[in-house]
Amino acid sequence: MYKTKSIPQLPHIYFTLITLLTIAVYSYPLHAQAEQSSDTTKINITGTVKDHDGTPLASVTIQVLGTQNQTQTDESGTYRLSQVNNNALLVFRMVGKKSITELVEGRQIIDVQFVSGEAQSIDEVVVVGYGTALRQNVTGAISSLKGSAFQQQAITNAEEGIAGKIAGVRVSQNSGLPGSAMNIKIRGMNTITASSSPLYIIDGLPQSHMRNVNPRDIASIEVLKDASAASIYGSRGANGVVVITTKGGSVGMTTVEFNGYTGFQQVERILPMMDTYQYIDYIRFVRNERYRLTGGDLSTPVNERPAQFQYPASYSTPSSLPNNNWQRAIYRSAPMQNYDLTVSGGGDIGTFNVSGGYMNQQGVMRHTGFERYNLRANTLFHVHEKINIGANIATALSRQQAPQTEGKESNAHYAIVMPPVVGLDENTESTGYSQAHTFINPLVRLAEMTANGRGHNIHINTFVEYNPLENLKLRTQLGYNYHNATYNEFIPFNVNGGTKATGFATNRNSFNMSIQNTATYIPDLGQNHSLELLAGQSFERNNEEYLAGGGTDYPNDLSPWLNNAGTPTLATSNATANTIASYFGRVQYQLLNRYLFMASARYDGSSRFGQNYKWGLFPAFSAGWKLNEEAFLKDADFIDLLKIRGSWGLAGNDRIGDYEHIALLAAQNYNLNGELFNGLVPSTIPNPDLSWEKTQSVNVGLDVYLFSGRLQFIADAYRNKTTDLLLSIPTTRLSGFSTIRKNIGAVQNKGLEFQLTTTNLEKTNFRWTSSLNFSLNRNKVLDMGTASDIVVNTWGADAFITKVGHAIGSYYMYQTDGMLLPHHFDDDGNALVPIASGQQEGNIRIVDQDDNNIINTDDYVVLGNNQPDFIYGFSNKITYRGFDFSFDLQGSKGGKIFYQGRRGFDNGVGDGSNQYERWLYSYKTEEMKASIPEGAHMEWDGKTPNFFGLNPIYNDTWLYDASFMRIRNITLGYTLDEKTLGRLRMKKARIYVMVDNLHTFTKYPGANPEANNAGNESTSAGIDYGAYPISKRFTFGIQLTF
Amino acid sequence: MKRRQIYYHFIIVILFVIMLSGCSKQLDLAPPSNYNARDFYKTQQDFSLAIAGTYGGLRGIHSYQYPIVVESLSDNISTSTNNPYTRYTLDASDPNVLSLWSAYFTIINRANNILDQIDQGEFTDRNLQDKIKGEAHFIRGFCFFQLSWLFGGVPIIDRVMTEQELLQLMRPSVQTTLTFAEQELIKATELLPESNTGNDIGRATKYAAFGLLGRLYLFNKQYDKAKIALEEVIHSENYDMYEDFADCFKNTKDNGTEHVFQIQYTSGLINQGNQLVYTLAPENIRSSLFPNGGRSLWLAVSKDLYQSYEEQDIRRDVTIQKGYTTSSNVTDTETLFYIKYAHGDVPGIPEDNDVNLSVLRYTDVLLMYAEVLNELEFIPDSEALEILNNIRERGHATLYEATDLSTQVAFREAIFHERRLEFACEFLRWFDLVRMDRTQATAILENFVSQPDEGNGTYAFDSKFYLLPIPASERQVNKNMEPNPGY
Repeated sequence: MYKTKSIPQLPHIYFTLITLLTIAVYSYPLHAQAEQSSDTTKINITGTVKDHDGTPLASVTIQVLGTQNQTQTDESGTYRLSQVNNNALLVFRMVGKKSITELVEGRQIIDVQFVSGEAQSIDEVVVVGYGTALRQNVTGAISSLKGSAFQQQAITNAEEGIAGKIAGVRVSQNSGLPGSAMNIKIRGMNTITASSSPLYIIDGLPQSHMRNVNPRDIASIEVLKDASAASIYGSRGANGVVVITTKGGSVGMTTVEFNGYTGFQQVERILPMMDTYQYIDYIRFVRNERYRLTGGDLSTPVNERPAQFQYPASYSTPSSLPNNNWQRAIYRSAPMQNYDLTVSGGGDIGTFNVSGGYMNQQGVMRHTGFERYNLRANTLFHVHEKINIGANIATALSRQQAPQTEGKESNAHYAIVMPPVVGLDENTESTGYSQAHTFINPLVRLAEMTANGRGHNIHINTFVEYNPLENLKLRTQLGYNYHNATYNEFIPFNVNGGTKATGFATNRNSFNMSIQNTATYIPDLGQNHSLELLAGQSFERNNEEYLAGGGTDYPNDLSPWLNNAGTPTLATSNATANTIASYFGRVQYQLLNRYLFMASARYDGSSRFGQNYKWGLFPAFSAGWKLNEEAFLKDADFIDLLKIRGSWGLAGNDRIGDYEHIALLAAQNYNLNGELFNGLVPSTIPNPDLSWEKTQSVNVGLDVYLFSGRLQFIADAYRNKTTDLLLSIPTTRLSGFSTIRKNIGAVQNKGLEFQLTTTNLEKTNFRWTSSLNFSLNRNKVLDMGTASDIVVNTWGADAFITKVGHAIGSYYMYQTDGMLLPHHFDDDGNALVPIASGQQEGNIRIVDQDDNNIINTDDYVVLGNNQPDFIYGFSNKITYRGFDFSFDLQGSKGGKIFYQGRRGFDNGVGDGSNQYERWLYSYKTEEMKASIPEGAHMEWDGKTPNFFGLNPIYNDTWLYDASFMRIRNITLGYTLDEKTLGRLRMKKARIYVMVDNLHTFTKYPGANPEANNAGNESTSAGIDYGAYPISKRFTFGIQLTF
Repeated sequence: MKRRQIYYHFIIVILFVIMLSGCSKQLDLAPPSNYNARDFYKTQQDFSLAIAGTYGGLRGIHSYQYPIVVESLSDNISTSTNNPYTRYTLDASDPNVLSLWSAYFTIINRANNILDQIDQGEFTDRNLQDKIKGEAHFIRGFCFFQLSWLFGGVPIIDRVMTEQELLQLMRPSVQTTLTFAEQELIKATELLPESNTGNDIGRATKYAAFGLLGRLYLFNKQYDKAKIALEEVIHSENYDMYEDFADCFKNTKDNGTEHVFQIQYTSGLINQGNQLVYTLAPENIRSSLFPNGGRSLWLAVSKDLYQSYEEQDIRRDVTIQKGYTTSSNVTDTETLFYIKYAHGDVPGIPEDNDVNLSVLRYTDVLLMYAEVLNELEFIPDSEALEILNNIRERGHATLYEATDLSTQVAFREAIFHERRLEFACEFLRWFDLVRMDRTQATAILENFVSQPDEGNGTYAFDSKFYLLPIPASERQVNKNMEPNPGY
């Protein structure tokens, strides 16, 4: 192995590992001797665990302290532990209970009872990377959410489940399309042009998202927010890490659990567009005025004008015309349903949890929908007293039908812009086009177009755990994740706007293979010291293959498959791969159960970087001080935990393309004499020096748990500084390229967050708990090196800038100051204030920032950004006898959204497209009034500008406050009492009714204040070009356990 | 028991070691489906692929951004649609101007990659080596000529340079850039073959290089040199005007004797079709020429151009259609738009038209030659008039009598007028206005925008528009790039 010395650091890591292992091996005899001297007798222990009221408790974890030997109670509350030293300590733990410690003292039957039902989460087990820790001993910024926090709701995936529930995590629902991804950001954006999505670890396997996990299979979700927690995941930890643990089985009687809900969804809001009467007045006015401006005489018969200034004769009798609200036509009340069945149990040989789920969500937009089937088997076998093997196997199959649902030229867009005078069957090739507009009929396009996405996902995670010593665990894990996504699209001639039918299909296969070896060693150092050592190594390979084809010249509109296409128009395939090799270790040390220390390091190598820069080291340190354990607070009984903690860490980001350090060639063909002439051209500028983007994070935190867990408060303040950004920066076009990727620049995120959980009232049969979280993040670009500002031009003008001193992707446009009114012009019509060329009375007045009397792009200014000032979530739960009632609020304050769809339907100018009602009441000059059709009411509303002349784009009137508060969920449930359950031979039965997304309070006039459907997620974030609306859901559900 | 445990440990340690050593090699990955530039530009085949890619760069830009910008700036396109070039509201952030700027420099970079390495290339066919080298010089010369008349002087990049080197470059005078383009085209004339056969038809020839050289000299008012270059083309006898004007724009007549250099388009191959043809027609048109409709009415033709043709001039109706029927059966009798390239085979996919676009037609060579003769010395009723009348005769326009054009100025005006009629929709009107006497050109354009049909003075022409703006995004990254005056 010494031949591979190209990476000089390698032997160091090797030696470190060997040393750690050697310590582990040699400490065994010492340890064993120590024990021999006292007592070597091993005994088997059984017992029952009961709650304070005497009911047996299942799923209580019993651990022999200082060893990996542990078990869980079964449904009858009994447990069995073998090979326990007769002087060992047993710890009984359960989520929400204060743990109990019992000294064995040779007893073979140990029954325990928890003292009270009160939550006491300081002994909650928190998943940290490659291990677990008790909440009270955690020193980094880790948030934890149990699956039960969202499994009572009608959520469709885990992303929705965590929305608004975890401080520091912003989950934005950019689209209401069933099956669409949410945008998840942890503590802001640490990068500009690399990906800012977190890393997901699902049962130990790294993934890029968590949408394929059935939310009901989730036991817990931990979010590692600061670098001290995340840097154990090294090169991919900089954006935070989401660790998902799925449910296993527990020893005891087999349990069968059924969950089902069914309900319907409705669109949350319909936009105020013109009806036929209004539209006709508006169109006649516009066409008259345009004709007048080109020198036309308004007394000329309408049908003698050029086509663009004509309108049909029928417009003089609007009552004879259709009056359709196209939004109401394409949106509907849509059903949804979800069923899950879980069977779990176990015995001496091991445990299992097998589940199946089915979810079907029809979209509120007709002919859209999403379906998902999930299967999972989590198993663990005790094959030998020292060896466990297990496998978590999960599959997910999903189907999505989403024909051009949102963004520019989409059906959501057409539903807004389609004139009300167009008949619901018009505007297809077979029925002909309305004279009002040639937009393709969205209703027919939804029905006839094929746009099927399918996903097949297989997730296999097998592992062996070997405990050569009681306090040493060796674990090897082999993981395989396969994802296949296919997409089939067919646009029939009938709805292709005059173009022939076209077909398109893609197939993407992703494979991820990983091996991971860890050793965990917990030496027994006596009462005052507690030490845990972790060393590990992993290797991962990701492959992706992509295939796409397209065709046209179909014989008819009947079959959407490409084999019917007469002429191929596209055939392509490609493959990419990347690898990551890692070595990592961690030391956790607790002195006197009071002073807590953690140090970790990870050494990662990635194929994505240049030859000399493949490897990076990511260290982290953190410390905590439990003040409540100090003598001066020992007497303060009401304090369960008072801990201050601080951390520093370094994590990386490698989320760029696989080969950006290499100069690649791409096909650029030509043709000669009717034949293809194959060509190749340079397609990327190589950067052999490309390396990691690094995020340094400093975090201080405070954990306060009072009154036996009735008040829990966790607060954090942090500052993340990311340097050597993987910045894709514009380069001089003289090079023949537009961008180059370099390690340049720095970004800062700093913020505050807290989470407060309280038990407000606790009486017999009555309990009211609430939870509030709050997060604030400020993002700022600190440095961009030699790179110029990144300005993003979108549909005709600049709208975004990323520059030093401002947040990433800040809006960059004209500032306005009301309107140009008559007093801004002299008697000859000359402007007395600076105007842009072509502006007239009634237009928007642009602020001349540089006071040079010229309005041009030099007057652009930074006008805020899409990132909120703060976000919050507030949940309440009240239980009374068998009833439970809960409601969740989620909100975001500050931040703006750019309603770019206004270009087409909310700026007055549109070649016949429908407009927001307000444009009827736009400002009109005296001359323009001649164009108002007789009898029309188009008086100025005092706000809406003149849309003739020029309203320069883009300006701040296109930006809106994106603040909102959403009533995320209201639930009312009833659980049957035990007597009835006994008669029915059930363990649990609950029925509930629920409303999700009942209302969103916002000033935004578009469909969804969280929309982002035309830009990217960083340098042009927050564009709405016609969003698929969020739906309200009304559901009824049942939960049964046998 | 204890021994066995140590044995286990040993195995595990060994396993760790094996894994450690295996991984690092796995970090060197070559892209499985892309070619690596490191191993390219070596063999004859590599250079053949590279020159195809260099030609390929011209295809996209010349069927969209170039025609739109350059034709709209002239008085051929009406101000009635919202088009910043015809309304003279274009500024430095214009995306199409940026596309033009970057497309030419991208093509130059491809040619530089070839020219830097072709002398070391492993060629079995020396003629092919000369030909590819000649083509690279030809394309590089053409791009620099285009850049110099569109933008003024631009930095001369005659080899592949690093970003640091490029950012040191200053803008030279337009003469320096033109001189570089001239030298490139001269080198091309020395290396390129006289003609091509078989599957090489469509590649640049010696006479394409001479023809463009003639155009460059004419632009630079070097009439002596222009005469020599154009005579090379004329005397080659490889070229002749088509008898029927409409044939010049039919795909079935591509690469014939009328055409000295064409950008090649072929339908039925992926991404090799010509998108310009339907781009010029209104979206909602339905007719036999446009069964699937057009793209937009962004380039509506001006009445001024339409009325410049005599009624009997067949070139008018080949070039322009007046009025159309929409897909919803509205009849329009007023709108004017270009259909010059729509007379050949109608493609199944609108953007996949088969027709080539001429950079240089033989008719252009002849008209340039007539102009050169007139500029060198006005001789009434001479060869120049004969050329002019030959062209008018094909168009069925009234022939000039010698007495109609009795002075050099009158003849010059007749030439420019003829060029407008003959080459409308061939993106040469703006080129002619730019090289015309400035006072005269400005008068033409100011008059144009003051016409009642053209906004009646709403849009103002400014002489800054004779040069396109240096794109704002270029100036953001490249501080040495002086803006053009007025932007």
